[in-house]
Amino acid sequence: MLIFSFFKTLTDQVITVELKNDLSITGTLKSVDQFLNIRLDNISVEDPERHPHMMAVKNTFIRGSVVRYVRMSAKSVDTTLLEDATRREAKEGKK
Amino acid sequence: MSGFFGFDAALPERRPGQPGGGGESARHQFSGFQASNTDETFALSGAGEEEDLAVYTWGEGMGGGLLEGGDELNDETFGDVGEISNTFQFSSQPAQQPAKPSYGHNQSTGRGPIASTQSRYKPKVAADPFAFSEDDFYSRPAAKKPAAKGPSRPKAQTAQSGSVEGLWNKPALPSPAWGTAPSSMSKPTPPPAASYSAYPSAPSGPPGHIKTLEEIEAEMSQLDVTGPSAKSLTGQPKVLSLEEIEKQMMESMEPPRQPTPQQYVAPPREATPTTVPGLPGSGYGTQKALLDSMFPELGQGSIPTQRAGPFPPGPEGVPPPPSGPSPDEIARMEAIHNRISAKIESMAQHNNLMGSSDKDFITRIQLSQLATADPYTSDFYAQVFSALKRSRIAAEGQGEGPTVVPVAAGLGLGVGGPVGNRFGKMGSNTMQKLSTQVKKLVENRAQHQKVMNTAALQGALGRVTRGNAAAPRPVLAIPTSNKPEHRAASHLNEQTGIHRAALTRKQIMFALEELYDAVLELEQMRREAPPPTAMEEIEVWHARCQARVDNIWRRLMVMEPLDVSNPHPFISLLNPIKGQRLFPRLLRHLPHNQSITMLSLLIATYPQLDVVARAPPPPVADASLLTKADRLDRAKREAETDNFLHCIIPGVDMIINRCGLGLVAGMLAISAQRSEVWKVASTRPGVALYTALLSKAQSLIRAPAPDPLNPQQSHSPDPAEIDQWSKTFTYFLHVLLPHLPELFPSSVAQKAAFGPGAYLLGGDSIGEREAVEMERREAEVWGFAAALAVNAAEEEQTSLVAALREKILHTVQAARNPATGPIRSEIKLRNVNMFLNGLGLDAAMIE
Amino acid sequence: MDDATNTGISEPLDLVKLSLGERVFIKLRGDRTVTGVLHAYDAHMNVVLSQVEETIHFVDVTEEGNPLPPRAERRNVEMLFVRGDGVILISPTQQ
Repeated sequence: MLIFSFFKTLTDQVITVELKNDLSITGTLKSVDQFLNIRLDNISVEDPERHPHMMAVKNTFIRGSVVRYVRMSAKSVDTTLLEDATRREAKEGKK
Repeated sequence: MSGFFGFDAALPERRPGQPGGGGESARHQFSGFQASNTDETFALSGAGEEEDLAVYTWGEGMGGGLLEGGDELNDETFGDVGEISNTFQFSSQPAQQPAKPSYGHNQSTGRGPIASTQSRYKPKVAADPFAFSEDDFYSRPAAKKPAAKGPSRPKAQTAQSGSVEGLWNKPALPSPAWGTAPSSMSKPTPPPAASYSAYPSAPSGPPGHIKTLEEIEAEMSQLDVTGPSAKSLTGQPKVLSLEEIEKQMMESMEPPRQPTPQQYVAPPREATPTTVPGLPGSGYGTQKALLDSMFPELGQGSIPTQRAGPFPPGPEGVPPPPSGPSPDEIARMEAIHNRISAKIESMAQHNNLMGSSDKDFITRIQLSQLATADPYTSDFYAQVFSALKRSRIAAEGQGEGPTVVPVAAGLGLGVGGPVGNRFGKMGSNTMQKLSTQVKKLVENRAQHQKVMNTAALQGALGRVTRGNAAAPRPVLAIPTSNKPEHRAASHLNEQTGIHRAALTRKQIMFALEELYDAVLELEQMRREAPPPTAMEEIEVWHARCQARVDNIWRRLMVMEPLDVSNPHPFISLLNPIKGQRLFPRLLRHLPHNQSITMLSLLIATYPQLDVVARAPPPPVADASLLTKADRLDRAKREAETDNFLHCIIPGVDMIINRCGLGLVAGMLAISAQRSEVWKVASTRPGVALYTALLSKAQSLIRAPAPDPLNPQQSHSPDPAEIDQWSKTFTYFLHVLLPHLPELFPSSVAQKAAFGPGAYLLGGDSIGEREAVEMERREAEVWGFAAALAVNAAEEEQTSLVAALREKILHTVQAARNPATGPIRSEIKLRNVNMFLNGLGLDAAMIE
Repeated sequence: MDDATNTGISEPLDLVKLSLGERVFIKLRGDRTVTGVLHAYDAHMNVVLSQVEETIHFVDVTEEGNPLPPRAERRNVEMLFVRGDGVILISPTQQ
C-alpha cells in the first residue's frame, strides 16, 4: 500500500508514464488504485509520430502492469517522509 | 445472472425426485412452468439443453391434463383483479406445510425487488425464503421469451396455475400445487418444501418455514390485517402497491396469454427494486437484515389465515384451480394481499432509518476495512503528506518571516512529525544566519571601536610596506596552561584501552536503519501522548519514551571511548548523508546534557568526519581535465558537505547557543588541542563550527542580557570564564594565524591550479554563476575572519590585519576593477567589509 | 557495532532497506540500468528514486552478424517510480 499511498499524493500533478512498449504518456494524474492502474487526463504522447493512434486521445486509463516508469517532479515528493513511510511499511510487513 | 444458473441446476435434480403422488401432478405442472422458464433462461445463457428437454416433457405431460382448463381460468383471472386474486389464493392456500412454502412465495412476490437485489449479491442463500423468490424473478424475465418458443404450449395448457405463477413469479406455482395437493398433506408437503428449497438451497428452506408458521401466528394475532384477510372473502386489495402491481400485470397480461404473464411479471420485478417501498435505496446489508426480520412476520400472517379458514376447503384435490374465483379463493386472495401489505408496512417501518449519508458512511467504513486494518499505517505517506501540505499552506497564509520560521524548524524545534526534509531547505540558511550573527557583532564592535586605534590599522593598510607584511610581529604569547578544558570528552580521551576497526559500511547502514526505526517509534510514541489530565498514564508514557531515548542514545555509541576507532563509531554514523539527515531529528529528543556530550564528541573528532578529512578539493578551472570518476567523486563530496551544512550545523549551532561561555571555551579548547585547527578551518564545516563558537562566545561576553529563549542560560559570564575564553582564543588564533590567508577558497584554488588553469582562475573565463558561488564561499571565510576580529584584543587585531592584508587589498582592488562584474564586486566589497567593520574600518577607507 | 553485525538480516528486502536514502544501482529488464537515491520500495520491488540516471545498453550487430562495441543511451530524471516487475536486482552503488 506504500506505493499506492505515494501515488495518491501525486493526484492532480503532471506525470509521465512510460509503458513497457516505450510509449510515454504525459498527463495529469486523476486517480490511481491499489493495482497502480492509472487514469490520466489531458494527455500528450512524447513521440506522436510513432504513435499516431494516440493523437486523438485526451484521457486514458493505463493498466498498472504495462507501466515501466512513472516520472514526476522532485518537488512533489517529500523524500524524507517517503523513506520513513517505507521503514514503517517494512516493519509492518515483518510483524 | 449467476443466480439463474444455480437455480436451473437445482431444478432439474429436484424435479425428477418430486414427481410421485397425485398431488404431485399439479406440482409437476407447476414445475413444468418453472422448468420452461428455466429452460428459457438456459437457452438464453446457453446452458445445458438436457434440462430443457426434461422440463418440457414434464410440463407437457402434466400440463396436458390440467393446463388447458387452467389457461382459461387464467385469462379470466387476468381480466379481473379479483380473479387473479383467486388464483393467487389457490396457489398460496395449499395445505399447512405447503402453506409455508407458499408464504415464502408470497413474500417473495411481495419482496420481489428485494429478492432480486439479494440474488445479485449472493446468488442463492438456502436459508432465505426470499432467495426463492429472487430466483423466480430471475427466471421469469429469461423465461418470457423462451416460454414463447417451446414451453409456451405446456404453459398454455396449464395456463390457470401457470398464469398466476407468472404473475407472482415462481412462488405462485408452488402454492397452486399445494392447493391442488392439499389432500395429501403429509406427503405432498415435504416435496414442495424440497422443491422450493431446491431453487435456493434445500436445507435452509424447511427451518425457515417452521419459524414462519409460529411467528406468523403470533403476528396474526397482532396484526389487524391478518384478521380481515382471513375472514373477509371479498377481494379487497387494500395495499396500493399490490393493486398497482396487479393492474400492471393484468394490463400487460391480457394481450399475450401465456407468454404475457411472464412478461408481466418481468416488468414488475424489474420495477420492483425501485418501486417497492420496503427496499428503497437502503444498503444491501440493511435490506437483507430487514428482509430477514420481515420474513417471519409475513409468513405468519399469510399462513395462519389460510389454515384457519379457507385452506381446508380449498386444498382438496385439483378442483380449486379450475373453479377459479370461488369465495374461498377470494378470501385467500385477500389474505395474500393482506400479507403483502403487512409485509410492506412492516418493512416500511424501517424506511429511511438511515439517511444516504449514513449509508455512505458505512460504505466508507467497509471499504476502509477492506483496504487496511489501520489506514494510518498503510497510508502513512499520503496522510502525513497531506497534513504537512495543509500546515504548510496555512503557514504561508500567515506570511511569517521566511528566515525566522525555517531556522527554527531547521533546528528541530517544535515542529513535530517525521519530516526531516524541511531541514534541508532550512539548512541552506544556516551559513547566512551565522554570517548575520557575525555581522551584528561586527556592527556592534565597529561602533565601539571607531574611535580607538583606527589610526594604527589604517596606517597598516594604507601604506603597504613590504617589511610589515613579510615580518608580522609575533604578538602572541601562548600560555600553555590554557589548553584543554576538562570536559567529558577529554576524559574519554584517556580511555584508550580498546581499539577496534572502524565500522564497515554495511554495519553503519545497519546501525542507521536501527536508529531510524527507533526514532520513528519514538516519534510515533510522542504523538500518542495521553491527555494531560491522566497523570498516571503520562508518567507511564514518559517512562516509555525515556526508555526509547536511552535506547537511541546507546545506539548512537557516543559513549564509546574517544579513540576506540578511527573514525569514531558516532562519526561513522554521521558520515553518510543518511546519518546526517537523522541528526536534527535525534537532537529533538535528546536531553540537554546528552546533546552537549554529543557535541563535545563531535568537536573532538571533527577531523575524522568525511566532510573534513575528505573535503572536496578546490574547484578546477577546466572541469574537462578531470576523469569521470573524479568528477563523480567531487560531486559526491560536495553533496556530502552541502548536506552536512544543511543538517548538522544548524543542530550544532542550536546546542552551542544553549551553552555558557565556559562550555564554549571548553569546546574550542578541545578542538584546538585535538586537531590541527587550520586544517579543520580550511573546510566549510570547520569554518561554520568555529564561526558559531566564536560568535556565541562574543555575544555572551558582550551581552549578558538574558536570552529570551533560555533564561536560565543567561547568567552573565564570570571573570574566570572570560579569562579562560580569552586564553583559549589567544591560543586558537595563534595556531591559526599563519594559515589564515590560505583558508580562502580563492587562495586555495589559485594554489592548486597549475598550467593554463592558473591564469584562468579568477579571470573572466569563470562563469558568472561559478564566480558568485565562489564569492559566496569566500563570504563564509570572511565571516569567520570577522568573528576572529571581534574576539581579538587590540594587538591581536593588528596581527590579524597583518595576516590578511594582502587578501584584503587584493579583494578590494578586484572589486574596484571595472572588469569585475557589478554583482561580484559588490559581494567582494561586502565580504571585506564584514571583516573590516569588525575592526572598526571600512573598505572605503582603503586607498 | 557488534549488535549491528549480530542483529540478523532476516530477509532479502532488509538489505534493500539498508540502502534507503542512499544511491543504488538497479538492473532492469530490457538491458536497462538505473542509478538513483532510493526513497521507497515495497515487496514487489516497486521503487521510487531521485537523481536518476538511466542507461539503456545496446549491442548493435553488423550485417554479417558481428557485434559492434556496445553503446549506451543515458538520460536523467529527477524523480522516478520504477515498477517492480521489471527489476532484476538492486544493489548499493560501489563507494
